[in-house]
Amino acid sequence: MSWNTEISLKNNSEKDVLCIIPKGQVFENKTVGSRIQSVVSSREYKLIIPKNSKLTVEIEVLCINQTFKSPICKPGNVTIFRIDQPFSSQTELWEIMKRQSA
Amino acid sequence: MSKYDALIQEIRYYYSMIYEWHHMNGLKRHKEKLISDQHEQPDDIFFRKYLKFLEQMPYPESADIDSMLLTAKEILSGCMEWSYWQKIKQDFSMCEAAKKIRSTIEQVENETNSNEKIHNLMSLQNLISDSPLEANSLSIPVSRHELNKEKYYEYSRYAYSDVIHIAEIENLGGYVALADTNLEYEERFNWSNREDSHICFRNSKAMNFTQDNSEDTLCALAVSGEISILSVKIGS
Repeated sequence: MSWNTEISLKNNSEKDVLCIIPKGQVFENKTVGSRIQSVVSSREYKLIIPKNSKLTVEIEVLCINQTFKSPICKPGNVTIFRIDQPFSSQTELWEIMKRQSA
Repeated sequence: MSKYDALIQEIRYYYSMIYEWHHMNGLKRHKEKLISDQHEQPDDIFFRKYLKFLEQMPYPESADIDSMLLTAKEILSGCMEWSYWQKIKQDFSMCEAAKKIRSTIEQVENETNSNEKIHNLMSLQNLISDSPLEANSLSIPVSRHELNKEKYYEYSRYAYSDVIHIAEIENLGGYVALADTNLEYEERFNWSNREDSHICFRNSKAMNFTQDNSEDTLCALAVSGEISILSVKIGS
């Protein structure tokens, strides 16, 4: 099952900006320890944000913490991370997340 | 004065009370006690042991933690136990001073262990620097009573401190995803039921996270300030 994440962005510059949300971009909820899943974008998104403008987009996401609760309209953060392996479904993503490499 | 120094000073204070009392009154009181208890003569094995111990007690100014702890142990259960209930001051007995030493030393040890753990945890690298990031993890020993979520998240703030530090831009983070995902790994190994008391912290790479520093990405644009992230709603 996939979910959506809504992001509102503002272009602060005097020119149009191309903004890429890579496949696997991680979004986290704001509260640590809430046992709500973090999510990742299910595909790459390319957005053009016109100069000095705001843009709100909804992107499709998959969950990464299988044993945690599903996120329902919770405030979150964009993170500095993306998932480093290819995936094509929720099941595959959960399988990746079960593997640890250290 | 650091907290550590203050605790050492406190231990030394109680030790000096014991030292002074025993060197002033010890021999006389011990003999009196032996006689009143109709015990063996003052030349018995315990008395000789006490005398030797008294002789070897280091001066309060130069006593180390081990010797102060040993003295406390001898009062609580050893060759100085006979003085257990002796009053050093009004309303303050020998056993209380010994217990104070023992508990304060425990506090110092916990403090030291905790500082070491924090130092180790802060060495976990989660961000790409000049060289590629290797998958890595770090286990820290914890006591049974520390094996809970509150303590886990307290330690996680050190393990992922580099990420907390970098994510000072509004609505940009990474710490929650790392800390929660690592907890999920820990729980997969039945952490509350397992025998050994360790918490393992995996770095970002070990949990399949990486950074994408291409200049047009949402994250890079937010870091450079070209765009602001006004809000994020997950699961809408």
